[in-house]
Amino acid sequence: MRLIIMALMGASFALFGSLASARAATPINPQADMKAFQGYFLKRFPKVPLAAYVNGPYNFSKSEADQWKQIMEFPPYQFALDTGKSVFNTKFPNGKDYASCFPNGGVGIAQNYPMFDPKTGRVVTLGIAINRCRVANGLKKLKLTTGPMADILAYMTSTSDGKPINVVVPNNPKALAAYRAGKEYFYSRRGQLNFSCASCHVQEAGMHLRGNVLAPALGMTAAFPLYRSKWGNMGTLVRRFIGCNKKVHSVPAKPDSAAYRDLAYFLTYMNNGLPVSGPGARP
Amino acid sequence: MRKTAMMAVAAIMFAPLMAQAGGPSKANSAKAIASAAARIKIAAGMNDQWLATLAAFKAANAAQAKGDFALAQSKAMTAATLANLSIQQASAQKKLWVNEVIK
Amino acid sequence: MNLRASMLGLSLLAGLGVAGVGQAATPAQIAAGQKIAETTTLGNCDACHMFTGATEAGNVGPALQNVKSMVPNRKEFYAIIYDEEARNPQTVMPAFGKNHILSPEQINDVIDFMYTK
Ligand code: HEC
Ligand code: HEC
Repeated sequence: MRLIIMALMGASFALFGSLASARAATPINPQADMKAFQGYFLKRFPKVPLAAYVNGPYNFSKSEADQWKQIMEFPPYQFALDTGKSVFNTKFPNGKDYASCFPNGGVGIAQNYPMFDPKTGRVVTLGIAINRCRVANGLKKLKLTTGPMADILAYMTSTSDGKPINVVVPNNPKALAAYRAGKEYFYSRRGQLNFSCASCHVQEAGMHLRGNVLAPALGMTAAFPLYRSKWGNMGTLVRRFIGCNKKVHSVPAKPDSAAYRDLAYFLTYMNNGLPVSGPGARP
Repeated sequence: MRKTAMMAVAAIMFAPLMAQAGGPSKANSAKAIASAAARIKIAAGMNDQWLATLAAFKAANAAQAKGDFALAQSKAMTAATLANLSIQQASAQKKLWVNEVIK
Repeated sequence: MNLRASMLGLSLLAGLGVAGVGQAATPAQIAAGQKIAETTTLGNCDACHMFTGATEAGNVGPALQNVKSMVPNRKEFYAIIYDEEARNPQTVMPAFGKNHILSPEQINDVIDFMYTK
């Protein structure tokens, strides 16, 4: 009798053991994730072509889309774009400039961000790269959420307009771990209201949360930075993360935190192949 | 009517906690604040702090500074309760998040 | 786990005991319930549910109409607001009771209000 129990226990341990190790050993496969992610939305919303996802909520609300068309006759981000361009082209006190910090002088490269930096083992968003450039040239970091940073991002992003997003997750354990952490962040429920990003932007995508159409997670990063009427000015992707964290009564992470870097890495990687379409405008 | 019944229920529910924590005194509320702070630190480390937790914690510290130790203690206990809930949530999500993944 | 289950039981009991099953809701309770249901930082029910009188309601959850026939059992209604995740792990409806967003009294006021819909 006892023997049988022991044997059963042994068997169940073996089973659990193998399950646990199977999970641990599940290979991290960003490419496959991305295919499944894009395929899921294409199948669920057959009327929305892949490239149109960069327009976020406008695919799901005619009234918002109509308003948008009107607004775009005088794009509300134009001022930021012009300011950003002149800031970008102004020399630092040491005689160098932003262009000196980036490949191709910083023109037409936004589609490659966020980027994994093998030297630090961390993900670098374009905003963080801009701040690195400033620090390397003896200047202070800019706030990552709005203001001059959003202006510079608006200009740099505009020089990539229409280029396919091309985020790379190299076969490097730290890069894969960062990608995996971003994925876990995206799908984990948090906050007193108990939502994950996916609760609203996957499960309830296209539905109305009060007056807002919930944008599908696919394409969600492509139009940043953007002018949001509700903000009354420009905001970066991080600013949006902070807003969406607060919405579920969760304390936001720090703008330059690993959590947000990794989240941006995962989320933008899911958009690979979609056209860069920032700066954008939203209600 | 409802309110008094409610308070009676609450009193019964929290009586053991109160007894455990001790009556309101500067030392007891300070202890409650310290233990809330410890839970808050854990929640932060798990990337899952609730806004209401920090609001209650702030209120506890403000009450403590003003010498309202009973309020400080109850706010600190609320903060600890909320922090514990978020810690539970974060630990549960360590396993559950994979169920939401698009496959 | 056991502790959690018994805590839940306790708070459910607390909530229901207070409701005074069979007692008619007062207009004040119904008005309080409406305020809670329509306040973003409290029940925020209209962010997801359409019900008559709600402005700018969302459609994440089903429209709440003929609520008495939708959820005839008050205990069940209380449990849905307390922690819908217990019934449906995939739900996006917040656990208002479990996560201390609403007090038992507030949940009961919301129920009183919803039963007028
Ligand atoms: C409670 C629902 C909810 C949750 C949870 C949520 N969001 Fe949002 N999110 C919104 C709403 C509402 C908007 C504004 C309308 C829209 O564009 O979808 C929005 C907008 C966005 C946008 C801009 C989309 C666009 O095209 O303008 C991004 C990016 C975004 N959210 C990311 C996230 C991330 C990342 C998370 C997880 C940390 C998250 N959201 C969690 C509700 C939510
Ligand atoms: C974030 C969105 C959201 C909020 C806020 C919300 N609900 Fe829900 N609710 C849902 C969804 C989605 C369902 C569908 C059932 C499920 O998901 O389990 C639901 C289901 C219900 C049901 C059950 C309906 C049925 O057919 O059995 C009731 C009753 C209900 N909600 C009442 C409320 C009340 C009252 C409030 C405010 C205190 C509220 N809800 C707030 C999303 C929400």
